[in-house]
Amino acid sequence: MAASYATRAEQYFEDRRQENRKRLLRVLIGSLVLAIYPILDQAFGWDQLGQWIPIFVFVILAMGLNIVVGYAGLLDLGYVAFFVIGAYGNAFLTSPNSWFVQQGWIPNWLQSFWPAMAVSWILAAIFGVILGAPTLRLRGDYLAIVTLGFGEIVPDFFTNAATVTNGPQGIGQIAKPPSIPLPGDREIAFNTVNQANWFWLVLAVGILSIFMITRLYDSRLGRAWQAIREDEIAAASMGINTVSTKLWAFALGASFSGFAGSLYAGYVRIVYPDQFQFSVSIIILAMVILGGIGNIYGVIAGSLIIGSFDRILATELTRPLNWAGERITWPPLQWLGDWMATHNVNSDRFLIFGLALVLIMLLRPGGLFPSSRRAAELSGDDDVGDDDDDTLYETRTDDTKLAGGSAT
Amino acid sequence: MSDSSSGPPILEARGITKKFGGLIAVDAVDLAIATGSITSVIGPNGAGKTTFFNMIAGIYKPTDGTISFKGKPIFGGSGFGGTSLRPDQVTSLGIARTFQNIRLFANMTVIENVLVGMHSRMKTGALGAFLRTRSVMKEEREARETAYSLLDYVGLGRQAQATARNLSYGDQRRLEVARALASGPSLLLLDEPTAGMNPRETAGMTTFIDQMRRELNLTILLIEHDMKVVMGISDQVAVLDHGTKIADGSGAEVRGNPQVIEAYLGKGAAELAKQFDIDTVEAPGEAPESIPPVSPEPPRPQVNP
Amino acid sequence: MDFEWTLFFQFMIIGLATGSLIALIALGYTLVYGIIELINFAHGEVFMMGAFFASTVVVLTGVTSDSSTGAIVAVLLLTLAASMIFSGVLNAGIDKLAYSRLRNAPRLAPLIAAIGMSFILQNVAIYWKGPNPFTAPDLIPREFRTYNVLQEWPLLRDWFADSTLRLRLLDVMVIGVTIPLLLILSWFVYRTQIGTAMRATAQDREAAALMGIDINRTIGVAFLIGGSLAGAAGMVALFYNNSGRFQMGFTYGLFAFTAAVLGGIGNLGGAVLGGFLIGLIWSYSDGFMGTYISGWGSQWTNSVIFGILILVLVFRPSGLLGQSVPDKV
Repeated sequence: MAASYATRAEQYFEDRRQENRKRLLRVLIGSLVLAIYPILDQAFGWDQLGQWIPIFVFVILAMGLNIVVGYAGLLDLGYVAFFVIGAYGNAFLTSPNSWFVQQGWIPNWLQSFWPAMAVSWILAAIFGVILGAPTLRLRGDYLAIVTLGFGEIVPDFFTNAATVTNGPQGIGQIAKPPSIPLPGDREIAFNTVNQANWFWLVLAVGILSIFMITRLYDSRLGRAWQAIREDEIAAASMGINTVSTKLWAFALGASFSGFAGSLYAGYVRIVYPDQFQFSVSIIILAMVILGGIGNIYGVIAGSLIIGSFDRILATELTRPLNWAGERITWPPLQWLGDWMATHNVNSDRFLIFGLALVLIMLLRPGGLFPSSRRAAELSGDDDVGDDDDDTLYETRTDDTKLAGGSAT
Repeated sequence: MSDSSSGPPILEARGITKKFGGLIAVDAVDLAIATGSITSVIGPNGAGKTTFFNMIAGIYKPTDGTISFKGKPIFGGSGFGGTSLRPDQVTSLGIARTFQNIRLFANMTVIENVLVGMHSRMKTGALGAFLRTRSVMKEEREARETAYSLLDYVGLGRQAQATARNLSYGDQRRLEVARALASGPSLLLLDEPTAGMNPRETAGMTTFIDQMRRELNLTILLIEHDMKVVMGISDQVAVLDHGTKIADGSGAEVRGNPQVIEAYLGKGAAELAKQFDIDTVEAPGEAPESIPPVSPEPPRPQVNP
Repeated sequence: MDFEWTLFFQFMIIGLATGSLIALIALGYTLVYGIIELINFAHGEVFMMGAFFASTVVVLTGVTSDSSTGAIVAVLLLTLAASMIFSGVLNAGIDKLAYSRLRNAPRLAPLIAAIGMSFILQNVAIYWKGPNPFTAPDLIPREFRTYNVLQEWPLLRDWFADSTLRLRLLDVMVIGVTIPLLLILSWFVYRTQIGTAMRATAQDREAAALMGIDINRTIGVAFLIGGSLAGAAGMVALFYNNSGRFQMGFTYGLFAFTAAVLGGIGNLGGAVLGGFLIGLIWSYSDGFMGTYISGWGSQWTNSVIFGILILVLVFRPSGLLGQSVPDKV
């Protein structure tokens, strides 16, 4: 009898291996398509590479936030805090203007891009634990507000602690990745002119992140996150230490933004607190929610949609709009023409992000590409034992009937 | 019924008290459970059974008293030097539970539910998940094997890949049992395992509980308000009413206890039962058919709202 | 450095004025949270829209600081009423449009929708008056006047030898608008039928519904009242700061939410108490502390208040006046 269980388990792993192979193939094909982009960009003179690199950084951020929000079900409104820490981590370690470097506290080997990135990665994870720990006993909406508070305090600290952080001016001259020498006296350099190399580098880090996150989700830890999200008390009764499991979600989620932050700092080579406003947290959240909360491929799609709108489409759409506005000469529609001729779509960004959040919540709570599981949870038609006050995604079934119409 | 109820107690609760604000939900309850026995805690709705249960499982902290399991304290004393284990630590010690109002992970598959139950028996952490080393894969494979065998045991083998929310009510109860067994407990806490079941399903579950105890070497603590369910299989029955223990003994002893009859049927019921020669207290709600119709009208069982 | 009582009192009055503004906004958070447990994230933006509408109305009426006092007072009262109606209807409209459809969704869904709403409103504000700060017509005298009140009383005169009380008409106006509104609100909540229905609904929605209370209408009224208080605060804030900006709702909103939480969210008296406390902290931190602690000042105020928010939520989520409720399993 035992053998048959082994066979069935084996069968499962075989199935999963095949599925993984298929998925890997898809990711590889997708990455190859993307990898060709810099060549096309340069050939056709689109000149958008400088926009795509930050978009990819945001994709990595969204994947990290998805661990916290999508997997563990903890609504983090201050994710930008870890982005700040990752970016400043790199700046503190590698910039000659950094106070720490000037004090002579940073050994030379650490003052370069890759070691600094590793340190920022760990630093962000540690801060994930520090800032996550106080929130763990809180209910979902309170947790959201506390994380928002941290998301405000951290950049505020970097603005005000001017001795160390150089205040609002920020820190410049951050190290870029060292060039990789190739045979035949060539090299892969990461200067400002080598946009294509940067593009491939960020793409590679993104693929590595996908790889790590999918493995994480399909593991004991990933199952524990889902269990906590669904029913925290039942999860605790099954032997899951809810505190440490949630802290792992904060730490790992934050660690990816440490990655992304230090990469971003190396790319733009200057960090200053105004880059990290509350709206950044919300844009990342919108990416996660638009694409399909909990589903990593949905999140990637959502971040690409929002990121490309934010950085590229808003600008690109303005020209045809203005053009069309100038063509409207029919007097009754003159006002519309005037408006269209001068309107800049870049000024609609907040409106679009806000609408995305509201409409998704109203019409398609699982996002555009939902994970089937998460969609069912968020649409709130849970009919199985969920009547307590302290799970994060509690459905208020008791109130449902009453709120729907007046009682008789 | 079995004779295995001798031996040292596996679980011992002394003077367990729980206050919610001014309300005393459980008041100085003592209970000792013999290894290998089936013990039932019964009582009308609102008697404090589930609160008592939640204190054993570590979800509530008792206001007073001590609980020990296999000689190790689960809860005892306060301040430094006192113990107060979290639910997950209690589970790791070997106590598993089900819930009265089924609390499955509704959007996970059946087998994933069981795998979550195995959490405390597995070790893989974040690093292992990234690296997927050989030992990690071995652990995962063995966990799946055990999970399949458990599902077969409760009769859900064919539905391993179904989503838990789509199971029928009875199957969801079975899955809860499988999930609880997954942690490899020596004491299984079942909170009204037959709630909402029809008489046939109830009989099936009752037999199954006895079977588990024998085959899996378990000690079982059962909460019920339906007396019929517990009488047949329990070695020991404790009765709670308004937070205090009013009787503790074998099924027969408890059944005849006037205080118990009163708790279930209201004041004066004991007299009436004697008068009509009724020696079995039926569960509230199912009583009328077994009480002979007499005039004047027999007292209706009182169920606390 | 000697302790400057003049400065101390001056910032106390500014703090009380700011605090009363914050209290008005905080009441909106607390009313809504008390009934449907939603952190109405867009509430700060409803306040901001009230300020914007007030500015538009005042400009339309065409009064200037040269107009007669009677005309100015009349216009101010008209503007106050207009902003209150505008923000109240806006808030109730948002509820109808978005949140009311999410009543049976998980708790976080309406919160996310409210965050989205707050962004939409900010963008609407940019369309309305552009991204840069604008100023309101200078209708109320802003200069300080010095009063020697303290020296009139013998006992106080001995303690505060040279102290004088410096007041602005502006501060007095803010408090003068706020106090009557608070009185009207408490009359409404504790003396009228719909107010009683609101309190009943907040206590136990199911039982209230069984008693024949129209839950949806009650929730709508809570949004309406909360919004109109925010509108009043917006109008007052416009004249108090003499400027407005599309982002003004974020800071005021979060400070007011902190006040509501500090007082005990769901508790009306708590929101007012919290409002005054936060106002005082804001004012002393901005203006007063810098004189005594070097390196301290307005740049730290945000962190201090968000720090309070975090500490209260983590260690005493029921706030100063709230009661803690045991968990249920």
